[in-house]
Amino acid sequence: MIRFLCSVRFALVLLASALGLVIAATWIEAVTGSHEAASKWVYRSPWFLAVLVGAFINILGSALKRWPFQKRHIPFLTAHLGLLMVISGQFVKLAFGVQGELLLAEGAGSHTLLLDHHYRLAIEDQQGRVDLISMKKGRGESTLFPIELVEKEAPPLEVDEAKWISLAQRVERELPISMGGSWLTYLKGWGGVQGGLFPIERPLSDDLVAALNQSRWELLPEPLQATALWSARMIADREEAQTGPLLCISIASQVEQMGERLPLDLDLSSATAETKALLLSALLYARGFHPQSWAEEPGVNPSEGLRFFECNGERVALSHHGKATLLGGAYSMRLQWNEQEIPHHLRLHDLRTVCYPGSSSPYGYEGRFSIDGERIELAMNRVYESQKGYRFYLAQVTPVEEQRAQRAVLIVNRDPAKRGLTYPGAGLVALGSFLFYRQRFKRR
Amino acid sequence: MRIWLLLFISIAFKVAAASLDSTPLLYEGRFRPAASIPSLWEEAFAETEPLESRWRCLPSRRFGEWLPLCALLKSEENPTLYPEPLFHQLRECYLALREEPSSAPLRKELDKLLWEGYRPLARTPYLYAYGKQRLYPSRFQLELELLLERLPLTLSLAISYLLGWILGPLLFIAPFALHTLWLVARIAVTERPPVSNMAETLLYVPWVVAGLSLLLSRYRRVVICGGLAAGGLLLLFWLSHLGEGMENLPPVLDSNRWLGAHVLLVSGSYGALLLASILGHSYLIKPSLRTPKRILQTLYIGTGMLIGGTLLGAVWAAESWGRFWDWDPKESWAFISICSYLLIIHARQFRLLSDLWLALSAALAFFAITFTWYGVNYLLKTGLHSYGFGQGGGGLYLAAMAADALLLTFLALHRKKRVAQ
Repeated sequence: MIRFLCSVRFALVLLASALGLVIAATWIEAVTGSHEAASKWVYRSPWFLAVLVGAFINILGSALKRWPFQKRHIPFLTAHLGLLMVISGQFVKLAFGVQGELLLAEGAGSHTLLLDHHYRLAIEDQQGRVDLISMKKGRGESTLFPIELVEKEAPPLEVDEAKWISLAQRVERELPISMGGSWLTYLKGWGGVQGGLFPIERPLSDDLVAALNQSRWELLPEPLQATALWSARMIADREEAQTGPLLCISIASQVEQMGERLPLDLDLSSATAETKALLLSALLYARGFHPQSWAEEPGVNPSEGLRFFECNGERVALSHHGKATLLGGAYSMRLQWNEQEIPHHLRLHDLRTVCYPGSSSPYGYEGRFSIDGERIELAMNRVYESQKGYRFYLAQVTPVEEQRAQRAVLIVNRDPAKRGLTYPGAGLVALGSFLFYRQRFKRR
Repeated sequence: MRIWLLLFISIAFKVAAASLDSTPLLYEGRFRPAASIPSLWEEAFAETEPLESRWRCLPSRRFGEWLPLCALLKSEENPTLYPEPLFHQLRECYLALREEPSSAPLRKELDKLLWEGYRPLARTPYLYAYGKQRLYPSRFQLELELLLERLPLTLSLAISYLLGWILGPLLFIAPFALHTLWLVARIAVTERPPVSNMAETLLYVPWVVAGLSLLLSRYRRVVICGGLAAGGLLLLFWLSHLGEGMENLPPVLDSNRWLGAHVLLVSGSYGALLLASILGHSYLIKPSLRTPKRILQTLYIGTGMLIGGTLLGAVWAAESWGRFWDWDPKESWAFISICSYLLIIHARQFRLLSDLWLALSAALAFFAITFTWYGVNYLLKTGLHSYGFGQGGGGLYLAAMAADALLLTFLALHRKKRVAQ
């Protein structure tokens, strides 16, 4: 067994499996459009880690096998020692290094990094108390929150599906009637109609009926309830004459302006599910949503950080900076990047994009910063490294127009292993390859 | 020796420059950015105006931009960087030429005025950013640029490479020398390594192939294969309509030190590995005893360059983006290519690969390189190397790969049968 682990056959198996796995990963990334998915299935998966560990053992073993070393082993030892140093350098960086982004607007200062791939949840209750939860192994518990949150596997999403989810989130922010996550079903059920109200000639699905029955209309202010009622009545009156969506929006928004003066002659909380469905569609018109425009809604890339959580059987999808309500509106939940403080304070004074003459293609991005009071200038490919080993790289400048305050994204990192392990290792690999060639083709 | 070479180059250059009918300023400079003041030039596009009116010959007061000749018509105020008296001289000359379009002396005078007037402007900066600046091209650079555009270099080089192997390796040296001069001239004009976009790599890689096959030219077959590969790539460039590849550089690439070190090595390795692949094909067509050794030698050179170049790229990424390696698709495919070549080298080293399999795998492994080179930028289009993305040719690429795979299968089966017999 040990002989096999140190053999070249095992090395070939490892190389071939690494090759296959990485091809699969780039394919996954191209299909889903998400680097995250590729990382999850390959680069950070146990099998890829197993290949790396296997390579480590194989290289180490095959080197030790050659003991006592002779002169002819020098190229082999140099190249493979270099490789081991590079791999261990990566592990050291992962364990002890820092990698994150620093966002700054002109004039602002900060010493807080946002960490890539690390996020936390901010839960807020109705008294305004906030609790920050870091999810560990896909689970998190809060002191405020009686129920455990579970992060769910992201379902295989089409771009189209993600579009619906983001639309449902927008509607949910606009109209805080708790629908238990059923906005998606509702919007899809309504979608594709030429105009008019929610079509109730088709039977409603059981989920939707349950959600509509649970929805809490009393959370809405009374004028808005009256708006829903009266605009639904007015649109229904015109139903014969093929009401287009724009006319519906105009009716509903005019009704909304009179909302305070309209009588609320029906208790909406106790209305039937069908009535509620009709009223909701009228309310959506009042807020400018209409089903025809959804088809033209730009697709949302599912890779843009949509995450799925389950809480007491309720499914929530959250994007970054997105917000959702939980347990009948008793709590709200937001997704935030994890933060880390660095021992430097950075302030952005001025930022600009220099363009090539006569065009809008950039020649350079540059900014004046101060770090702990000392002035520095950063530009792309002009990186600043502090004495504590933190490197600051100006990665992005938005927006390009000079009229608005500009924002910079700085990539900040600290890699304690690079001078000791990674770079010398890379140098040794290159030297070793050269020596191999010399050894192999010395005699021509 | 070096003095003779310089003397030869300068004479060749002078002869070539003398063949131009005017100085590069009285000429449609394609890489001079147009001025963004339309009121000064929109008249040029009237059908009645002569073509020359649209040529961008006058350095504008907005630094770095160029005005067309017809800007001289609007005389209220001097829009150029030329001094006032010269501007009026130019204007009179141009107006006279408009009256008498066929007058050679007038045209010559206009040309001379432009050329002499430009002298103080050459090599002065027009654009500043932290740590770097752009200069107005020197008159030498302008002449070179015009020469590069006038001479039908791509096609003539492609043909001479393709024919070079028929006429023998000695005649192979001439196109290689011309190719070298061409690349040097490009570097002199663009002031950067000739590898910043797809078009430029398609000019640089054949040079590596040709150079390497000259280095190994003791073996005739290498030269033949090198000529085929280099000529083929240049022909591909000529057919591909990729443009000159002399466009502006995005800021992320604007670092000659790193761009040179990383991309020159990586795309250089593509050249060596292409040579290995063609040698592999040739072995399958007609086996010879010495071919496998040459295949292995080019594989070693190519893999060494690829590993070195990829590591340098990783160090560049670590120095700027802060991470050494992050499985960006370009990185992943570089890794895949390296793995495939290491597989071959290790298997060969431990005698697990016969000559036939060595040739076949050297030919097949180049598929990974083509995907790294072309596929990631044109088919996958994800990841951080986004400045290189483009489109087109996907179907042709896949068809060519499929055809080559079929051909290789057929050749290998045929060879195997022969060996069995």
